[in-house]
Amino acid sequence: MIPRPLTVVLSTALLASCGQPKQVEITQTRQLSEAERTPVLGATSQDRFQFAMPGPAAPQSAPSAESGPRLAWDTPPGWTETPHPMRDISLSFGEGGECSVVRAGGSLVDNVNRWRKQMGLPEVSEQEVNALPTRSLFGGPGVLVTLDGSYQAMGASSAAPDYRMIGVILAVPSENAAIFVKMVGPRKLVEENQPAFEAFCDSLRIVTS
Amino acid sequence: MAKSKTPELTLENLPEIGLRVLTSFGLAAAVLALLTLVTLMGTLNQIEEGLIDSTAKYFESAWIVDTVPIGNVTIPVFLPGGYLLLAILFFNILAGTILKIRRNWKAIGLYVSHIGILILIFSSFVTRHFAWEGNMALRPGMQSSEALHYRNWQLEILPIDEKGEANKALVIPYADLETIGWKGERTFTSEELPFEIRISHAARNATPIPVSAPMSAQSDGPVIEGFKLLPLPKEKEAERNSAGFYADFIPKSGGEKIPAILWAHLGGNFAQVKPFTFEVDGKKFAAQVVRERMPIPFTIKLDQFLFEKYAGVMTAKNYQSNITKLEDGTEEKIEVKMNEPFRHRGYTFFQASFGPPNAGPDDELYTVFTVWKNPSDHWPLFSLIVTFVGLLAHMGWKLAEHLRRSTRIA
Repeated sequence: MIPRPLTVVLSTALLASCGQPKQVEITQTRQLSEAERTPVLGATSQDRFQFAMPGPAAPQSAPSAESGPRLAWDTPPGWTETPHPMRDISLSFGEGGECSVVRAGGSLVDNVNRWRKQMGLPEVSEQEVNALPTRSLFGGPGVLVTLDGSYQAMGASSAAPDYRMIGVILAVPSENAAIFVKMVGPRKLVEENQPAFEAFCDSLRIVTS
Repeated sequence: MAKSKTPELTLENLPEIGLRVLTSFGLAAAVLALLTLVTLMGTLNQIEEGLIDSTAKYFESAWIVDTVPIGNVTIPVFLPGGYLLLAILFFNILAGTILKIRRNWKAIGLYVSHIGILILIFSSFVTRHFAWEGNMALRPGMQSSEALHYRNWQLEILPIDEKGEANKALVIPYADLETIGWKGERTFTSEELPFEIRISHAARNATPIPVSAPMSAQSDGPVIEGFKLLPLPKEKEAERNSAGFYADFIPKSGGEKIPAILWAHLGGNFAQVKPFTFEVDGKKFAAQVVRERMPIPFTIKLDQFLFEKYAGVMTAKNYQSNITKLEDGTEEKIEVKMNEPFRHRGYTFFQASFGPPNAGPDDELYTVFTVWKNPSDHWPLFSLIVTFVGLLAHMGWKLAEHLRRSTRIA
């Protein structure tokens, strides 16, 4: 006869081996804090997932994979796609290098200064921003920004020294927004990947299929 | 002391042989050698998989099943994990202490030092199963009595009243969600809810992606309101993972199911949660994925955050939070500084960081505490003291014995 404790151990092991149950009763509850008691109600998927910006890649109405304009590009060799909910394109390369394409609002000078702040640099005036060089992006004149400094990513508690950021900003007046293509990473890595970044910018296009 | 003869390997001798193996120095040496190897491999693995996954795979597991690339060759690895090795070591030392150490006053130091080591191993067991780590972010004037887990998410269903308010949330914990997987599904029920919740396509790290994006083709999940959920590789820093899954809210009354993508948006420390809102049988509900909560039996209020940096550079010289602890109608003023945590009722508050990132000189700063609850918080220190005292007593006795012998010979 199998001793009782052993029976318990064996039956527990047998139950555990059957896997997780398909149906589970909810037993936990939590009292909400004062600040949580009035949740934002009626948010659409667009709101919840923060794809609020209108534009060719994410039309407001329910899009389909088979039709409508969309963003296309050629991923440079050695770079990998790392999808990000707040970016239209998100790529990474090397140890700590990343490149993104996003659409957002705000004036040119505000956005340049936002980037400068991320790099720990002081703000510049509108005249200085207007004097920045340009490069072609989607066939339009994009403002080219190159910044060296200590980069503090969103959510990071400290800045990483000796970083470089290269960005191109193309204003889209019809959308009251701008397209931002940004590459950031350790300075040496970004220098090495600048030709790949140029090729990536040149490959960006809108396709309708 | 004469060594007793090893019994013959027969069925009736098995318990004695087993006990001999369990209490042997050979077993202890083998376990310590394996622990060294596992520690080395687990440490190196952090480069590839990050701290949390490596800890789980190498140190918290019973067995390690992995592959290690060396040059162009991939070597399969099958080893006992840190958890199993420490368990064996614990029973080896325990059995050895009880059965092998001579029972007299001369051996008291050995007893004490072995007990110290047992406490150390047992404290790691308690930490593994009962410790909890999260954070608490506070702006000046804000107060809170809960901490948010760094990595674990939970699904909450909020019944909404006529005023559009909710008082409580029904919680589906992380442990019930993470095991579903992308191909599995699980149904959750409650007497308080007029619907069942069927969860599928669960991923520890995922992102919603509009179907217009070419990468959406990589997800085989259904399209809901123009979005799919795309599973992503796990991040090396586990706290950067955003869990996501599909949910079907199925009315018990037999109505049509309501599908949704539920996703844990990382956001910032004070990011507003935008839940999925739906109606069943004329009643409103909201579903949100938020960080796992740990209630704290007292309240912490931030009075002031002080920050000082070295001249000309961004490096923090010092930062501290002046807080008030509110408990049972009493208030206590406390300063929490870098390397000077605040401890109370088994909870420890470390000054971890502050924000917002890239704050300007006029920006209001907020503080972030790491909140750590560990019943065995001080046990390692206690065990080291016990071990030290035991070894000191043993070596002191040995020294005294040596001196006594030397005097006798002289």
